[in-house]
Amino acid sequence: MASILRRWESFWFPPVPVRRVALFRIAVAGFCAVELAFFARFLARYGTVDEQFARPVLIAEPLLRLGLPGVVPALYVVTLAALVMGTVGWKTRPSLFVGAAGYTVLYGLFNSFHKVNHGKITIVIALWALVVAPSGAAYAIDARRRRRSIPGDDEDVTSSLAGWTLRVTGVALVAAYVMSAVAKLRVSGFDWVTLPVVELALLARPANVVSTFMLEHPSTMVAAQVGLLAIELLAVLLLFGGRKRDVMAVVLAAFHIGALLLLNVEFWGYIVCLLAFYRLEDGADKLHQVLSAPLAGSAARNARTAVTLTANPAGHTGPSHAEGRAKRLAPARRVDASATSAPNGASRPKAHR
Amino acid sequence: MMMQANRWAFGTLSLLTVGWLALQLVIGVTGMEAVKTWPVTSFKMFSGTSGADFDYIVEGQVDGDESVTLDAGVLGLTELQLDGYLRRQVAERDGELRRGASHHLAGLASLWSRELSMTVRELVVRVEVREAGTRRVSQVREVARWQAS
Repeated sequence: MASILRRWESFWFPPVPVRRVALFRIAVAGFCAVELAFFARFLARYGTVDEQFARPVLIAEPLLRLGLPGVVPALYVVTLAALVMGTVGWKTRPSLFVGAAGYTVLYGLFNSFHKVNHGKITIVIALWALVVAPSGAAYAIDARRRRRSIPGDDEDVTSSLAGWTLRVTGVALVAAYVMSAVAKLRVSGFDWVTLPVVELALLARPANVVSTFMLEHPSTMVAAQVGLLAIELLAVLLLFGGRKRDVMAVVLAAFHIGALLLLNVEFWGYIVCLLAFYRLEDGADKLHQVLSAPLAGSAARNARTAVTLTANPAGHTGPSHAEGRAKRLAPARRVDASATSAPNGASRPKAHR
Repeated sequence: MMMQANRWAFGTLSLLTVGWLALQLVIGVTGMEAVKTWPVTSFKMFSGTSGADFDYIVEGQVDGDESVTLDAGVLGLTELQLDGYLRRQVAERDGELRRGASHHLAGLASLWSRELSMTVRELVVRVEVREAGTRRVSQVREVARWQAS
């Protein structure tokens, strides 16, 4: 029993750096905010669609029953503001909570008119999971303020709740793919691969070079459907890590981009959720290294010049201000510290990866 | 204190995780109707050939015997949402009328009249059937008709 619990805990609650979940927060909340602001403004108009057309999903039913045309645009504005605040990490947890609730209800409303889509499910789950994690413990206005008020507090800590958030998102993403394959097999059986699904989808959209080629060569459409079914079933490999995960992530991203270009079916939220499988903090460190290298170099040069010009007049032996800055900008940050409790319930890693 | 709080958090989250996973599995495997359960749903998109080779067309006769075609956007809907509404509330693609179809068409005519600032006197719902493997329409079938009394 104890071993099962340990395995459960190590799978669902792996300690991961809070910087990772913070970067994931920026990606997810930022994506939702940009989407609402520029690509999904139509959501705000669903308050005025006549209820005759409604077939409400459970979570949107109260809003539709309210029937106040001004409520939906107001919800849209509040949700957008909360998601922007969540992205920059200002009042992170409450703003993510409001953002997640608003985003869920807005898309619930969209799905309440005789067409239920599953394109937003993973990103909705990711938003809710981020509310639980210490998402504002790094790369956030909240984190900056906390560091000012609590000397010694830093972002190099790990958290099991952060691990849970990323794991839940990852499992939701894998489940979405596998369930899609299950639905195809349940509804149409293995014959699905020979049904004219891709053909009809291509015919319903304006022609382009690729769609014309595929329509002229029916075997390409069968191959595409076999490939799609295989990809969806193999999405489980994302959970295994390493090269299998990387190959799967590239294949899935390519598949979504192809579907967007060919069929105008958009699944950007799924691509954003793929980030849950990666050590985002390593990417941030590399980016920081690349961006700060010229700065660090020039700071070090300035320091050398200053030292030469002043000939160390006060007999000072420590690094100058400029040298100190150059050192701080140096990339490899390793923290070797015994586990101590951090304000968000996170703990310092023994050796930060 | 902190340890105990963490234990509670892990316990609660574990229960929520189990609940969500179980619900997702049941709905995903049985294909239960998604309309009540979103965002936990089955993922049926592209699972069959559900009517992508059919298009619903709604035509209205307005004052002066002018004929106009309904655009879903006028009602604040997408094409797929209007298709879903017509299929579920008015008539199946094979022409089978839904119960209350005429009531729904009357409502549709009234809304459309308001948007057009004209009176829609008659509504005809047709399905266009595309020829297999082409974009050519091979057949147009009338599936429902409504006239103002």
